[in-house]
Amino acid sequence: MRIALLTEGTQSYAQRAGGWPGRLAEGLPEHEFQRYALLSGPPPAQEEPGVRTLALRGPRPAGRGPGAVRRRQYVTAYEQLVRSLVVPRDRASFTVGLYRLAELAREDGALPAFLASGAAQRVLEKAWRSPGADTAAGQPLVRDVLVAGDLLEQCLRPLSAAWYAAGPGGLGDVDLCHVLGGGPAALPALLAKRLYGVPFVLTERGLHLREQYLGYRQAPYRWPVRALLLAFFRLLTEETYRQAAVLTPGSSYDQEWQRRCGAAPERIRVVYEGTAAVDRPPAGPEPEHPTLVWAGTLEPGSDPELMLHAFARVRAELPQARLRMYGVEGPPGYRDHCLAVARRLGLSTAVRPGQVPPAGGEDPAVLFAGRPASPAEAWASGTLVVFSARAHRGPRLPVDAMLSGRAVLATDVGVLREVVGPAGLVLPPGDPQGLAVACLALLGDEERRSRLGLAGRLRVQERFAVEPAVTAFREIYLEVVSRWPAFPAAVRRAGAVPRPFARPAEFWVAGRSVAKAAAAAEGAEGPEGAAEAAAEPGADTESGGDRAPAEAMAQAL
Amino acid sequence: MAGDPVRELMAAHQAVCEQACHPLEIAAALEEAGIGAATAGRYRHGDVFSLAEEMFARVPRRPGDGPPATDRRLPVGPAAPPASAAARLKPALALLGVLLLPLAGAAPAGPGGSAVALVLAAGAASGAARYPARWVRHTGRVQLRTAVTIAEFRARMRPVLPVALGLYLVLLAVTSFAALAVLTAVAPRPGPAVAGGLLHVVLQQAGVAQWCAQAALGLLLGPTAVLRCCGQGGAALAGLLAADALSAAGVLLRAGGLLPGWAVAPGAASAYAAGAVAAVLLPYAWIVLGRPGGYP
Repeated sequence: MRIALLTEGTQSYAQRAGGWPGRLAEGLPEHEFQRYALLSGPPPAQEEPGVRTLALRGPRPAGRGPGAVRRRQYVTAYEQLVRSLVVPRDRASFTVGLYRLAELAREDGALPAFLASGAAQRVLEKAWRSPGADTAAGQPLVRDVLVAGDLLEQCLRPLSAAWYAAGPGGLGDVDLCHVLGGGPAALPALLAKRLYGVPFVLTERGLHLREQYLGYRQAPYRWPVRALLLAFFRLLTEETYRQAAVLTPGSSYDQEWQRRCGAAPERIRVVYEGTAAVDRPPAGPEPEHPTLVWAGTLEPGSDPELMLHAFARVRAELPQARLRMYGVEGPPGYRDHCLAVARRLGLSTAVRPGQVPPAGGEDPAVLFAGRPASPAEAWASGTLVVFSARAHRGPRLPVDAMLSGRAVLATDVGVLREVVGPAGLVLPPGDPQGLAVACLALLGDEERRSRLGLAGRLRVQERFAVEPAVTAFREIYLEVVSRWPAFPAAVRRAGAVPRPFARPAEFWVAGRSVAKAAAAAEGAEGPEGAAEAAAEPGADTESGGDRAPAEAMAQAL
Repeated sequence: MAGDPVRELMAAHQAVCEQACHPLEIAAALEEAGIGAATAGRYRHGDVFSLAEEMFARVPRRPGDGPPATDRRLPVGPAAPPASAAARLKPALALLGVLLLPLAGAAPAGPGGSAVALVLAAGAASGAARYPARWVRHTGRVQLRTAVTIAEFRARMRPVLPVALGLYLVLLAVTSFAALAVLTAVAPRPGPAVAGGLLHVVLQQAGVAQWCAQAALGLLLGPTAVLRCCGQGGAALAGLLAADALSAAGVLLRAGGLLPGWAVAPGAASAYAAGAVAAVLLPYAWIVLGRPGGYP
């Protein structure tokens, strides 16, 4: 199959060569992957061959605006889009406006210039100030119109990408789109589906919509801008979930959110992100002193304070206990705050970023060790690993901790319960006494500790290996293409009725090269093969030379 | 607590609820605060989403404090090339052309002293043109922060360009007068002394056409500087180049003896060239400055 991988990210593709898209392409060599990257950072110094990129941020791409006649069409479409964002009763016109804008942008590419023009600003202001618009917590000012127009222009840049073509290299030429990440990255897939009937699979690691809701609270925008942009992201996400053939969230926790945003439960398959670290050997012998390891960004969300409070209680019972806090500082000054809390609790502290303390000797009770040289080293320096977060959205860190074979204690938030499961202790968040008791119980019971550690290691090795993820996607691809009735290559002719299940799933796997080889082999077989091909009745053979290898393949099967 | 467990939660997350634009935003904030599916049961809800919906419905929206004072600069224009030496040289050369070309064809016997003095005055004033231009940009930004609608913004910006141009013309007049005064002191006009004091003498140094040319030059240089300041360097350069071309055409016509009699007076050709371009550039600048997008 030819698969378009659509990604969005701050880094260029070359920097993430070992990342998830790379592993997927490596694990499925039978498919051809064409990569499309939306960059939200600066463009890469050198374009990587085979990757088509589009900058989502930064200055607007140069280009002329539409002429007077076409501008009226642009205005109509943009007005529909904007009204759906600000007027609650017009929500339904979102898709109409979006697809109409996409159509216009594909024809002349004047969308970015139009969105920056005065006409677009006037449309936006008019819709925003019309009766019925939701401005409960603030009326839009002129600067809000400018800022929102600018942000919308950036979000809609994928509409004017030069990727939409039926010919080779375009999105119309692929059999399947695979979107990694949501939001604007899904726009090309939505268009490919609408224009060419190409189905798409949506994989989200950390839900785009939820990240926007959290991120925009710190953004320097007034309420109206925030409301408009978040309405855009929400409606776009809902449309994406409606149109996606299969959604593969990275955890059941994300699945709940997707269902809440309108994804049909029967189209959701949880696929855990595979990590190559599963082959790493388990951590060596435990350190001399009972040591707790805490890891995460130093920020209120991961709640290092709870850990410190619990540790003070542990230390009261077990004076030789140690605490190692790994992780970089989130909000500036938060580490000093944690240090102050630790001192108030009567714990001796030290800050030694990037160093593992020498075993034994005059260790302080609490060590803020910064970013460890390698995660394995961090886990090996402790007897227990504790996650005291109030919110935890990504599974990577606990998975890595469990791979070390150390016992894990985690609070029951976000993705932690699902990752840790029965192979560790799960406690309610915000309860230092309970956490301290659990830590003491585990520190005092070596047999239970090692049993939990081993169970945890086996659990993540089974669930979070690369192989299961790749296998899951292999099956999902097959399922999607086999169930998709209006398949482009099968129904290119006008007026043809799409036939569901017209091809067995394996038909698409073989790809072109195998199909050609099969056709050649059949040709060499002799006259009966050719005669059979010729005897095939009408409809299929008349569609031309491109179809011949496919037919041969179908027969061979 | 027993009667209404959500009330306490609403008080704790008051700011989030007042500023939320959708229940999902409250749900995200609640999860961030450690309230997940497991704890939502305490508030008599099945999951955090319905809890967030109740909170969204019960807390009225209220205008917040707004963003911090440091407002984000908008990348409004298309990709701007970095200002290289050549990019800065081009407008300077065009400006020199506008100033010096009228001298080239001034008179068969070379330009008069008054013409040179006026050119020097205009050159000095063109350097000072960036101050009114910056004032225009600053006013635009301030109005942009406070105006409610685009129409209101345009109405507020309407007097700004005339005022800035008026100030600039006054400045130009003062420098020209000073230059001519110095000329009078250095090289007094031959002939009988004219009664009427210094003012009269200095004004007599240049003809009516020369004064008109100076005013037209001011009307050309003023909007050019404003446009450059407001991110429309291309339009400004085009205006200067057009003035160059017209002046050069005037010089050629004069050299060929094709100019009609009324255009031969010193400064007349220059006045026409600068005035023609200013007549186009002024309305353009007026329109551009009325747009809220014109203040990067």
